[in-house]
Amino acid sequence: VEQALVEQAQRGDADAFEALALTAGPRLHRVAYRMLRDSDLAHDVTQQALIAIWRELPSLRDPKKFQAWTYRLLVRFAYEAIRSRRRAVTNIQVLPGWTTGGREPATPANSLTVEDRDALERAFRHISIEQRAVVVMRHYVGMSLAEIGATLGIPEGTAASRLHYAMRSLRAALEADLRPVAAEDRTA
Amino acid sequence: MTRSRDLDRLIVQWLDEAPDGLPSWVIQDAVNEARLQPQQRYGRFRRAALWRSPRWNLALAAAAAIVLVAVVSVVSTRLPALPGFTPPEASPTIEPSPTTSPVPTPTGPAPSPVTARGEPAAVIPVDNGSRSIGLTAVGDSVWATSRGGMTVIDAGSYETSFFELPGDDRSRSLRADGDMVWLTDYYGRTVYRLDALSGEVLGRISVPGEPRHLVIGGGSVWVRLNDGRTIEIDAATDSIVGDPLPYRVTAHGLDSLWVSRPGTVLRIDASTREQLASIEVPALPSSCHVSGEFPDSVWGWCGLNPINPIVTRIDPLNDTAAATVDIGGLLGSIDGLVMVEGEAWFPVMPGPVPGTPGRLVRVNGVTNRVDRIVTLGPDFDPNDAVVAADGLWVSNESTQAVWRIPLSELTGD
Repeated sequence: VEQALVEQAQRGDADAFEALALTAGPRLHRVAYRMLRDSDLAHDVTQQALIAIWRELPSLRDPKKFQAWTYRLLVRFAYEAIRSRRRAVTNIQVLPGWTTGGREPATPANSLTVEDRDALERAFRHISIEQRAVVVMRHYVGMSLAEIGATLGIPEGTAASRLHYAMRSLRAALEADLRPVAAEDRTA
Repeated sequence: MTRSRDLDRLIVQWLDEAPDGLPSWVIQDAVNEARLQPQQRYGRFRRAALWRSPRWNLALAAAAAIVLVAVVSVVSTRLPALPGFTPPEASPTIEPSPTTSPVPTPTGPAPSPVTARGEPAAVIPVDNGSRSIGLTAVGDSVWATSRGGMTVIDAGSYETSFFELPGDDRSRSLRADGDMVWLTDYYGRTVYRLDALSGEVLGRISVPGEPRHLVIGGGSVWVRLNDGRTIEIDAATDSIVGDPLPYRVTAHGLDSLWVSRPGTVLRIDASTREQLASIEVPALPSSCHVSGEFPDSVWGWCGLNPINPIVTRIDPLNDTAAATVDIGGLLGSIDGLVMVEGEAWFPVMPGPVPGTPGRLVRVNGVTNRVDRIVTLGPDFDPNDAVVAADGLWVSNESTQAVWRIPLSELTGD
């Protein structure tokens, strides 16, 4: 069905595009949010990508590759957005003594704590937008490195390298976050 | 290796956590916009795509620049100097561009803006945990959001006092309204109403989302939520009125709500909530705002765009864009608007290239030109700005302080 809609929209059928946008919009927004970690920016980037999809649809040679092609457009706008933004709107920081007022569920082993999320948010904001794109494509969208390379227009080796360094940074952030806890354990 | 896999699993789990949903207007606006735009039609060899590629454009620009430099150098060495001709002085580091389309452009040559170096009369430390500091003027004092509460600065003596506030202090904005001050708690999803004299919490309203921005007018407080909706709070009863509006409301004036989206400013009747007008403005990404003094000096702008910082003067009597003004090259992102004695000043964050520190830029509402730029040194990193007691008070994120700049220093009078 999607392929037929893509072909109709390529011929200038705005109703077909609307149907495509209704399914592609939320999908693109989920990826945009995960890359940008900011709702407003993710809304804007999604909207820009949808308009660009309409404008550039006639250039898409293979309608079967519609999804990957939309990701490429989205990532392009996300790059532009993040480069023009000097600082994040919110600087999430867990203050000493800050609690979630009981909203946080009990954390079994190997589950995310508030501190984990905070550490990951901060670490994610410190890696490059190109690295973020690869992390999201690999671990959220579920693409292979070859697919990521094709989608982002980079060699597969570059995708692998970006993923490696990004994950190393994120792991380091989590481990660093665990260190003070371990020290307290020792003194207890 | 097992440890590494555990960490990777946590990272994937974090990545999977659901964000806010996508508001329907995001898709609807894109579809509406698409219906107005023609699709790109490419030739057999996709020539159009080639012309639009960044590399091609860069190469073309470089070639054009080389040819231009060569032509200018040849002409300047071969032609005799014209009588009375004075070579132009080198351009200053930052030269605002002329007004741009699509709205009417002012006629006549653009006068060079006066660039002045200002000095703060006072720098008052405010600890807000490295975050942006929100400001509002309350009579002869300035309130500044701070770690754990509020810092109150006496605008005459610069003496400070502090009071604690409940809730989560990590992301707050505030607005004064007569003898009340309204304050948001983003993470606590709460709006507080405070007594402007004592700081006492008089009202506490839970809102259906993270509050980001406050607009006051018509006996109501309009709270923009992080998901793009805006709710109305009745200032007399502290209760939420009606359903959330599917808009990002950024200003109230002339009994209307002013909503800014990339490319469009909507005017909404504040009572009936009907759309009264749609005003086309330059399409810029992200975080657009409308503010100013109704009806004489209303401005719209989109922040967070250091490449092309454009502001638009809106004529609210005719619902048109009266002028667009590029406030200057790689200056940095526009971080707000403050009206000083009827003139519009835009605090601008430091730019992404060396030599573009944070600054205050004045746009003349008559000529629609940048006519004054005030720099305040390399540490100037403006957030919020308010006027109180003959001074402009600007919060400075990087130094965690509030600066007072005398209005006379600002205007050069």
